[in-house]
Amino acid sequence: MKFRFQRKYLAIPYILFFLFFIITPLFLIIYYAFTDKATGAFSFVNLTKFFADKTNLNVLAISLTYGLINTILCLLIGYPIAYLLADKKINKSAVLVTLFIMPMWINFVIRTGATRDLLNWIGLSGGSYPELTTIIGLVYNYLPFTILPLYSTMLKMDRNQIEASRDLGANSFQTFVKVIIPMTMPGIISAATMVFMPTISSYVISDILSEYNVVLFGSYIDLYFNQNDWHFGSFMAFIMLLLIGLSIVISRKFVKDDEGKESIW
Amino acid sequence: MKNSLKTCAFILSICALLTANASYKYSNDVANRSNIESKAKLTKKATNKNTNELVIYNCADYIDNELIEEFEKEYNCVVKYYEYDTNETMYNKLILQPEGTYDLICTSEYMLQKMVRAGLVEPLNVKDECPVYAQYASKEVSKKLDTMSIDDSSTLADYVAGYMWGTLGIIYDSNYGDTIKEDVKSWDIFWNSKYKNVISIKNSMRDTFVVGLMHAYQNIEKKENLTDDESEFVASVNRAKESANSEQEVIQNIFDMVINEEKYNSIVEVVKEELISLKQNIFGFEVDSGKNDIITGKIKMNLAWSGDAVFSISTALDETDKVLEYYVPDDGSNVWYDGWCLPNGSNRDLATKFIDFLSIPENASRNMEYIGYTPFISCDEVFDYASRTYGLSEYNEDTTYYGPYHEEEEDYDVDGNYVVYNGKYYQAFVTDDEFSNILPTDTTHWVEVNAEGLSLSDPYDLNFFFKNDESTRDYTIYPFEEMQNSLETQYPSSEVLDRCAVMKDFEARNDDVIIMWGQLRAYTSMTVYYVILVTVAFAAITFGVVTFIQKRKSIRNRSKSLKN
Repeated sequence: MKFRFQRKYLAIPYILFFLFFIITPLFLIIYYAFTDKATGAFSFVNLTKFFADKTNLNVLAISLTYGLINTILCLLIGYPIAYLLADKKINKSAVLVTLFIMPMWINFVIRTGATRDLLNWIGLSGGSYPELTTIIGLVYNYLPFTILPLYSTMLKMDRNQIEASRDLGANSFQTFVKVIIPMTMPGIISAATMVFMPTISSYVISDILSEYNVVLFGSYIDLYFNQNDWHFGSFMAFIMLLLIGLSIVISRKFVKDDEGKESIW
Repeated sequence: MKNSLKTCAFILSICALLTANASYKYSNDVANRSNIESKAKLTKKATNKNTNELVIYNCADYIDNELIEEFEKEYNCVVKYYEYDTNETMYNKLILQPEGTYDLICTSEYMLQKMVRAGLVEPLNVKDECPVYAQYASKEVSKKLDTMSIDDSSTLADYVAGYMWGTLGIIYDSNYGDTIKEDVKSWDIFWNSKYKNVISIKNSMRDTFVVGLMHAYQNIEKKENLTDDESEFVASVNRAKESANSEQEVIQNIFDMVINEEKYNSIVEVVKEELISLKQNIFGFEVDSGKNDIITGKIKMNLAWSGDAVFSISTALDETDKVLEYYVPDDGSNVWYDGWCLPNGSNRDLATKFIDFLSIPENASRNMEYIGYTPFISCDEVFDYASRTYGLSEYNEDTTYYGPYHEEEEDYDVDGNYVVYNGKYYQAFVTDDEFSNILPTDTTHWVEVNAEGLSLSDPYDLNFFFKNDESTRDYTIYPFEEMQNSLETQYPSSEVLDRCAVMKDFEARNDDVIIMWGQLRAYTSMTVYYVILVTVAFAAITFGVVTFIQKRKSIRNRSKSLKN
């Protein structure tokens, strides 16, 4: 039979990628999470181990807190910046946007090492204020990830609606709450998801900046992986996966039907 | 539908990131298993291996790379040199690779014990297979390998050739506070609020465990109202003392409590409580930054291995005017040994040759100079290197002495060698000359110097380490005052070694120690976090309810107005 090139063959690399790097690892994580370290047999031993020790839940609570605080701070700081950057009257060139995004170009491990020295220099050492330095580091690292989606949503925002709301007698606050926020909701949601999820699993930033005093969930999983306990580590990774999935499902509830389809989550 | 697929894909891609490591492990795992199943095939594979190739797996920055190149030239072979960061990483990789992947691995004593017990390592008779090593390895430290049992009939010495050894102690800035030199004699210093926020601890489970254990051993009996765990700990310590004949045995027995005692959980619990209270007082944990932070002055004290301490002390002396010192607390501490082993299916011939190559006196002393750790090898060359670096020693006719010269690479001038001969001090003065077998009384090469100008410390006796049956010379170093501490760091005296014990593999109990370690690392006051979480949850729920009610209201209003 003669080989005939069909357009659908172009999908083969993607299918392979999907199988090797997405499906297989997922099954591996589940396999390890539900097998016993000693025998390799199927068991719920990791599940009982996880819920038997209060520390594990505490670490989860700590990570959620940092995730929330980081998300809120990033939105509070990033939203006005994105709004100003997207306003053609104020920001006439793309240079400013580039400047705000620029930290993303540098590897974050290197950047975090530099942040540690910088914070020390102004008297904020991770030994004395581990929580504060961690939050500064997190906000600094995730701010570009907040600005970017907000900025692109705001560029597409219909400015006529803002004018219309003013014409109809709404004051600035009402315009902001009733018109601007609903219009930028997809950007807010995607910014929040891009910050919240990675914060929980991040560990380099908290490790370096807090001098290993603040332990986030990612760091805690790493602690077990480092001690060769792949099974318990995988189980915790599985828990994190569930949490992330849950947070996506919840965040989608906030996006109204049509707008939701524009954003990737 | 399309949308949910996208979401799905995104979730999956996160999984992919999370499990990148795990998948790596698994694919190798499969390979490993199939290898075990077809053992015949495996041996064939092992013998088919390129006999001209030596694969070494060593800790990072733990060898002078020039030596590897020279070995390649001398034996006309190819050395593939791989590095790892922690012993656990190494173990993980080893068990997942097919047998015969590595020919020679260097790791710590407890890990060696674990590997041998797991059947991953081939026996090694150093007397027959590594004659050079067997000749020069110090009897004093080699016998320690013999104390680590594998089973009833064999010990670690039947499997391992030693490489480097040292102690665990405190490196500190000797000018920080008036009493630091006194305080550092006990691990109490880490709990002392005077030094709050200036201490770093290694982010390493086993080393930190030593600190907690030794502090508990010295302090717990003084406590009133012991908890159940604490009284169990005291009882274990008493048993450890009863069965011991010397101070060193007491400490060794205490180290072994976790392995031997039935109620080891109490011991782990007591150590955890100790370390939790320690955590309130320290600056933080460190992986590799401590070495530099103590030089820049960010921290004043650090839990350190002796080899790293030698590095920090000399770097601080060169680059700043900071005087760092190292001390092994009198309470008792850990002495550690790193050694080479031959994993199953190794290229025995080249691997043993490599061990011997590193044991050649000249190479051992070069390696020591390069990495700063203390080798197992106790030959005259190593002693000469130490005495030249830290001070001077008795004149010896076979030793090569140097006149003053300019160090090209580091760009500084080096003084000619000093010696002591018949109670008088001499210095070699002929520039750019090296010689041996010329008596210090010969004025063509030597000049007598004033003892006071040299500012020497008390003689430091190293005979216990270097002396063997054949040698007649006196292995005592007369260190320069500013070098005395470095010398003591590099070569702990027999008194220091008497209060140090080997920490063996925790075996099955390791899992509980890991849990303890996780609890300790994550320990923090939880109230604030729960308050924040509850507040946020409450705010979110309120917001949801209010929006819902408003929506209902506006719909009702709208339908009302429509009706009207």
